[in-house]
Amino acid sequence: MGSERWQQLKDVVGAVLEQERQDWPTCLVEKCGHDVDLFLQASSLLATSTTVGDFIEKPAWRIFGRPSAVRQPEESGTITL
Amino acid sequence: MKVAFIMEAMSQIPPKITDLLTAWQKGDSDALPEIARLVCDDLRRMARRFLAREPVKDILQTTVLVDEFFVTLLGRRTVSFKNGRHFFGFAGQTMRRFLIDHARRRLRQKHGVGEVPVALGPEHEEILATLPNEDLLAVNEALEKLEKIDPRLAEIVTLRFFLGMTIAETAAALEISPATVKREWEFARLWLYQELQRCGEPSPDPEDPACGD
Repeated sequence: MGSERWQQLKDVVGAVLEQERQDWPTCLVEKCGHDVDLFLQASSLLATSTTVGDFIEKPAWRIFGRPSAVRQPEESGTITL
Repeated sequence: MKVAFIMEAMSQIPPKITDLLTAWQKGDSDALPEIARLVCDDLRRMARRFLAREPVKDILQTTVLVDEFFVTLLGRRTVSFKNGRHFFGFAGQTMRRFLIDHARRRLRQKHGVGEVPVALGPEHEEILATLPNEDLLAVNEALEKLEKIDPRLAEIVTLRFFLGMTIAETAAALEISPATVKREWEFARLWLYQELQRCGEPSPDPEDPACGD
């Protein structure tokens, strides 16, 4: 895909995402005009929005485990001098 | 005088990044999230100072922890940055390489290749069993494709996903508007997600991607 085409796709999807979901079809048709390829590419991307959920919303390192706020000493207990 | 009090006070001091990196390099998986958290927190603080429009020079010279992270990991003694964007781009890529390297190590261990796994307790085994290393590697592969098409989108994903920056922090780091970051981030998420779906299940071998260009 050429850079101009890519930018068009970004513009269309960006514009549609700013609308209420019920207005997506109208906005999509309006933005794509008679460009069927653009319409199909944008529709395909927008269709994933129903299943994308919180994909990559959490930082990557969180999947490796929950970091402790501070490292605890090896052994804990009270020692009175 | 109670030693417990002193021990508690000492435990509040974050361990040195170099110690954690050494532990990680020796196979201590527990060190990784802590390293990432400390470094990412520091970088996010820096981004917030960018938001407050503090001079770039002052911000970049005051972060010992991040500097220590780079020097230990990359062996670089002198790194000069043209501007904030250059710095955060470097930081994001470094953290990304660090996490991906870790995911690959874990995958090799899972498949019985490479380093000998460290002894783990039951709770660690449970965590290991649920970790989606392949998913992280698949995201990284898709991100590499995105980088070739749209470097700025990939930069936004790197800062948001690998450094955990907020929309505002990312905008400050890249010197663009939060509205632009938000729009581009949403597009990138959809594109990457679609790319992963299109490629199907990622290959367990990172050198043999399941879905070519």
